[in-house]
Amino acid sequence: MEYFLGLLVNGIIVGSIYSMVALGLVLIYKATEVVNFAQGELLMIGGYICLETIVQTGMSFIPAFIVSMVFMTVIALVIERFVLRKMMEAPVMSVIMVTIGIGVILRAVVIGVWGAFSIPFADIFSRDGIDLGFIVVGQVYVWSFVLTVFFMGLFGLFFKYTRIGLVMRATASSRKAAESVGVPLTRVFALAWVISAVISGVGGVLTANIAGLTPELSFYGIKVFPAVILGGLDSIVGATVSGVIIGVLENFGGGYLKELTGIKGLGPVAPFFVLVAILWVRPTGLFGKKEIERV
Amino acid sequence: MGINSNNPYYRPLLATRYERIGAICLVLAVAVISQFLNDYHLTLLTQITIFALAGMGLNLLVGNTGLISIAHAAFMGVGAFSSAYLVQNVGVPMLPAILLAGLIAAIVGMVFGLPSLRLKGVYLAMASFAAQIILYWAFEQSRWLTGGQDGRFVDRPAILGLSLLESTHFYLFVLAITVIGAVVNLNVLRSRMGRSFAAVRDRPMAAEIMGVNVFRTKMVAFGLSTFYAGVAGALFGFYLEFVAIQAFALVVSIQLLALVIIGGLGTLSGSVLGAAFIVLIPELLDDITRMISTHAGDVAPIRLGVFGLIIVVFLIYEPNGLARTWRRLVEWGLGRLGAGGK
Amino acid sequence: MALLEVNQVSLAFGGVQALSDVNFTIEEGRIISIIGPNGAGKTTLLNCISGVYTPSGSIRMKGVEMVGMKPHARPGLGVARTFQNIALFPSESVIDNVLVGSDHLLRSGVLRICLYWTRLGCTREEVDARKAAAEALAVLGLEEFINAPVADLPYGTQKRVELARAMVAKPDLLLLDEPTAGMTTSEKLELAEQVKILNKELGVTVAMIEHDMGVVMGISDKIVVLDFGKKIAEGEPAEVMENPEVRKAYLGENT
Repeated sequence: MEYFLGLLVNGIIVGSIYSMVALGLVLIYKATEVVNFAQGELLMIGGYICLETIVQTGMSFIPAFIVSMVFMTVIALVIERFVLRKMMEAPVMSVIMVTIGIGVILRAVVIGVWGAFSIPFADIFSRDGIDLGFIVVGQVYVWSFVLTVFFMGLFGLFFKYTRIGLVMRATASSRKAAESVGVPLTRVFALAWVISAVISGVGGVLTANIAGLTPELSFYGIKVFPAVILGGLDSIVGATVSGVIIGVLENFGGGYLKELTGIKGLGPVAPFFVLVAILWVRPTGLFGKKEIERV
Repeated sequence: MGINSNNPYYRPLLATRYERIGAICLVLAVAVISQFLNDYHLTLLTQITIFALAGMGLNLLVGNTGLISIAHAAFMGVGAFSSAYLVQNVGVPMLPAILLAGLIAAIVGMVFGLPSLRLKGVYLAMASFAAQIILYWAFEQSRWLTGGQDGRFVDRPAILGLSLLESTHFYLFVLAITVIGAVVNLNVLRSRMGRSFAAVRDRPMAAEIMGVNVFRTKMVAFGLSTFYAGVAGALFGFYLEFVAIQAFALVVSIQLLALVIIGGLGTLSGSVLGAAFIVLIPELLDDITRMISTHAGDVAPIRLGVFGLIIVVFLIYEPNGLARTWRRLVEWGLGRLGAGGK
Repeated sequence: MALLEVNQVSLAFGGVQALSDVNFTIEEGRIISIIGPNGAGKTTLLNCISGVYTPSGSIRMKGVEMVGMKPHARPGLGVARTFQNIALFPSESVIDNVLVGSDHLLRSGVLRICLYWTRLGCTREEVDARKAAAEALAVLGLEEFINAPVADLPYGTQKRVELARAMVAKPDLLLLDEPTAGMTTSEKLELAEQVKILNKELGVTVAMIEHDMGVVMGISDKIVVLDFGKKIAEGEPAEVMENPEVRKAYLGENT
């Protein structure tokens, strides 16, 4: 029973990070119709920049964290300004391929500068566990969960109650309508990318805390794809819910299925089986809208 | 009116005389030169040829139909391992094994991709990503088929009594298959199917209203592209007489995507130029970086990063790739020479 | 005989009622014009006939119910169409664009296409289709543009290419969405003449959305008027134009 709970709680916590990153992906998709294949690499770079800031400047964690979020904003703005803006008229597929290219570049930079091996992240949280009554959870995990919920709440409020948030939702709903009312599309896209990059960066820092800093972090971001398909590519609620589901599934897959079947490494792959299955059974996901997604 | 090439309504395989002459000369030249190359250069040439074949298939999907697949290497792997298994463990002769490999790759492709073909192109991109991850993991787990991380050896049987154990002779076989692949490619593009591909890429809704079955068109494009991948993978295995799963990893799928982007989306010459680029540039990069840096470990990320950069730059500034650059060069050259060419 | 019967067709988008209980028929061999103020639902109606939207109600073509039928099956029933904002395929040449219109009539499967040559291939029907496409282009005066890339052509020329694309489908019913928009007066006269010839000599039934009343009054056998998604009049041109509701709908608009 404890094993089950342990897997469940761990799954929920890791899943909440997936939810956050999935949110970023859905945001970009809703605003620009583009699926950002570099989302994983943005997550990875977030972690590396944070650590590098701590190492280079000796700042404590929180200021370094803020600085690295500024870096993520800059990266997003650079991408928007020098790449995306040039491709406003290009077909969506081309932009998606560009994001694949960007992901490759980011990954190459990381491996080139920091090497391909795992680096232990700074020890921010104490090693002691927090006793939740039925199980003990590492502090790192609890803080991750709290931070994730905090950021998601922040963005939720942003979208509901600020004017810019409203404009973004309108643009996501209909680009043409927004354009005709005079919404500055490049600004909206830039904002979508900035938010997405920052969220990914946060996710990267949190994941690096949990799993250590390696270029493989980019695969954490990639695992978000099954989450967005499960939740519905155009659904924010879907992204939130399914991120957690995927996290839990992955843990159970790695845990129970491994014992049952003796197959190794099933954990990371399980979400992709889910992706393919969802596409067969209910392609628009749990919460997506049917008409929009058919050609 | 007969339907031979004199009929003004007959659309020829290659539009201009210069293209026809050029193609024949190229194939003949490559065939002859290949017989005199040393092992290293012959390997490069074979790689280029096989990648051109794989690239043609991917280009049909990406360039002509406007869909993305990041799983092309995985399907090459399916082809490579199936054909090796069929030849060695089941005793199927090489030619049917290669065809079957293509078919198996296409079927496996459908399992992953079919549902996403009803939806926007984005979904196929993600489904193909899942396919690449799942297939690579499956390769890792299936030691009986793939040899796991260690790879497996591949027999290279004779075809119709002709022994192809000499690399130079086998290369001619590879070249022949690739030329057939190119001809089929051109046939598809100049037919109703090619028009449907372009219509689906440009305006899928209008195409549907005009009577184009968009779903079926995408299915054919995806099926053909995975078939090409399977055949190319099979040839790859038979050429090296050894296959290892690392040759079919995500990185290679991305390189194949780079191939069609850099070479030129939607054109046959693009696939050939892209293949040459993809195989030769890393060699060049390796030489350059070896001159600059003494650390061997530095080379890999630089190579990767340069690829990413080239993909981005080409997509922004030259989406028609090297093929367009090449065509402009040739037209300029022909103009200077005062030759008509048509 | 009724070629197309539209019965109680209604369509809503979110909270907006685009079409409400639209009823009318299109008789075989006639030219009918669908007119109405902007936003009346004319293009939406055409989109329902094409299959882009699935309304409630019934749309029967030659007695066959089309609502619920996949869009790509409808040209097989004899429906062809042009679009308000020109939906040609920019990456292709003029003739290839036109050929897409008749492609649904071709029968070759993938294998025959790969083979292409000999009797086992698809050459025969490709050649025949290409000949028909070239002839359609010639009729519309576009021979010089046959192999030109469609994207660079002037607007009026592109509209004629679209018409050629619709014609090679050998339609029984031709739907035209604002065919004369953006044309000069002489071009409009030419197009009106061409539509008349298509109708009289080839027997094609035409339903067109038009704003130019000169063209409408000049060639229509019947007019259907839409306003706010409802049909407010249907009948011969002269009597429809006298209809007080019609005049009210157009109050403030140019006639």
